[in-house]
Amino acid sequence: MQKILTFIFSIRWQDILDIAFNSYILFRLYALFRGTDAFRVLIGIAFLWVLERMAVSMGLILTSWMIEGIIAVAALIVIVVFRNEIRSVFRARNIWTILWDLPQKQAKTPIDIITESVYELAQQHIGALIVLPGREDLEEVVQKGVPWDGKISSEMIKSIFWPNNPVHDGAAIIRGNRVAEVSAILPLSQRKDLPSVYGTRHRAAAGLAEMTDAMIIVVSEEKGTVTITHGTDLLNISSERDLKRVLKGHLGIREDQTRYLKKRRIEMYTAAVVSLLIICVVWFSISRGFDAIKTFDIPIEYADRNPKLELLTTSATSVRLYLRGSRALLSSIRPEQIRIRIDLSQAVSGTNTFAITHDHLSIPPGLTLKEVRPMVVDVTLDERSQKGFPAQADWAGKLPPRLILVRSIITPQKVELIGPRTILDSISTIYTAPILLNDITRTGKTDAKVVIPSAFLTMKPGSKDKVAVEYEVKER
Amino acid sequence: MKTQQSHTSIGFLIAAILLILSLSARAQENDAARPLPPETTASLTLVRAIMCEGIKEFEPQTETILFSATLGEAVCFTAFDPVPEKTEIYHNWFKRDVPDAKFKLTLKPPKWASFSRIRLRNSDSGPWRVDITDANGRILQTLRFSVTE
Repeated sequence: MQKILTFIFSIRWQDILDIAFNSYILFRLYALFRGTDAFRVLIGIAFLWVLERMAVSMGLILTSWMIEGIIAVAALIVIVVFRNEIRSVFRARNIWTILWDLPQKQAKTPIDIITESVYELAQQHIGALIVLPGREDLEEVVQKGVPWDGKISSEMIKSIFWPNNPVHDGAAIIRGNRVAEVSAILPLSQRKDLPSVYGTRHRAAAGLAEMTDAMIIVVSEEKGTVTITHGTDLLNISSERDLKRVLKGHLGIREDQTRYLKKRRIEMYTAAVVSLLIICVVWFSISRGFDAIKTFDIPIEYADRNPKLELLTTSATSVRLYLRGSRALLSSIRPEQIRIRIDLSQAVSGTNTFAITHDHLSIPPGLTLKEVRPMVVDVTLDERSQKGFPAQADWAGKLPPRLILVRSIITPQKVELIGPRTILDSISTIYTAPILLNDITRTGKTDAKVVIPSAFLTMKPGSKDKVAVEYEVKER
Repeated sequence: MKTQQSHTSIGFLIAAILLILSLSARAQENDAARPLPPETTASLTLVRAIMCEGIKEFEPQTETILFSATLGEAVCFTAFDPVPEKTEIYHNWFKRDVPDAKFKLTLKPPKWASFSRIRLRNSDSGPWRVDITDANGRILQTLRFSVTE
């Protein structure tokens, strides 16, 4: 009981937000993709992931690697294969629908009018091709026809396919209670097993059915028969009643709509609860299983230093943190996700001592700090100052023995440096880079770069990093 | 009785004023009689400071700012004129800003020349300087030179 209470009180508001947010994302994915093939494959991938975690926990290295590979490939395949389905989910709805609303039911397709019209066309031996899209987007498969956007009526359907109508060739696409497009060109099926009696119209219907989840009604001009294509099936429908039943099944129209809506609401509530449970389990397994301690060597960031002060030395450039948390969470943490920041805004010139506390740390949620070493850091700051130093040539090599180097004059005589006062005070002279004597045969002049003796020092802005060295030599 | 006391006080006051005036006049006489301080007439003055390869008959030989370690030694020669009183100066030798040797040299009036020398080794290669300072540590001059192999 005590443990449960401790656990409940240890839950932070960030944890609740974390669970709620991810549960909602999972629920929305279900709401948007339910019923699609992509969703079924995603369930399969999730199952594989569970298997992979089990294989890891049991120490089945090869199996876990193999499943991991399959998951990676499967995820890629889902995106490629179901791109139309995924796109139609996101494109058909506005952002509000994606984030909040349950998928809106489309305007009810008037099945009675369609079936009646289809059989009238069949009786009159007028060929027709009517497409009833499913969830998938047809744009990539169907060659765009003539936009129509007319409310469905028996007369309209019959007139569209009337042989003298310029748009009677091709397919009419129905969305909701409207004819969206007419004269659309469908892809022909390449199947070899289609009966020879089926002409181009049937092949086009079969082609689209194979590539999408649409249902296509074909009215044969020669025989006056009605055929339905869906998936790889081609069904001859002999009666209006059968056609109605098949279309209702495809469009998801139920006789008892109230009951259906109630059932769907229960389904959504169940999905929401299951999403919450799944995320709780995942969250608990990741962030609450205190079963490991890991060390991280993290560089210290010294921030907000007074610009007049220079950071001279620190007793430590990094600290070793001992973090406690679940093994899964610890193994997923990268050192870049952990920060140690010491605020130097109140630091003064000289040595400042800081005890490293939680206030200096930024660690991912779910982890706790067990120990930190060193616990104290000394930071030495110094005032920035400017000082001029006499420059001196650093001669190197060998002057020809007959010659004497009598004097040298350096211009400018002084080199101005900026840096911490302590360092500036420890220097008396700035030397040039070595100037080779071997080639000197007479009095002359050369340029030499000055060597700045400390990384903390810089040249005064605008001053050159070279000096001119005039030298005088004499014969012995 | 009261008048007598008043006369006594006035007399004492006049006597005090006369005494003060008399002491002040003597002090002025002493200032005027004292000789000028040496600083105004002749302070310790460095008239020559050079680096050379050796000393011969109290004269520096082969003035240079470059010494080969094979030469064996480097000499810092300084001459002062005047030297008002017996004093000490220092030759502070630095190799790349690091103190290497310090020589205390005694100067005697009226003028004096003195020198210091160091032995050179191959490891002495690099830039050097000699700070010539007086007894108070005031730098009179800095000589810069290099030692090569």
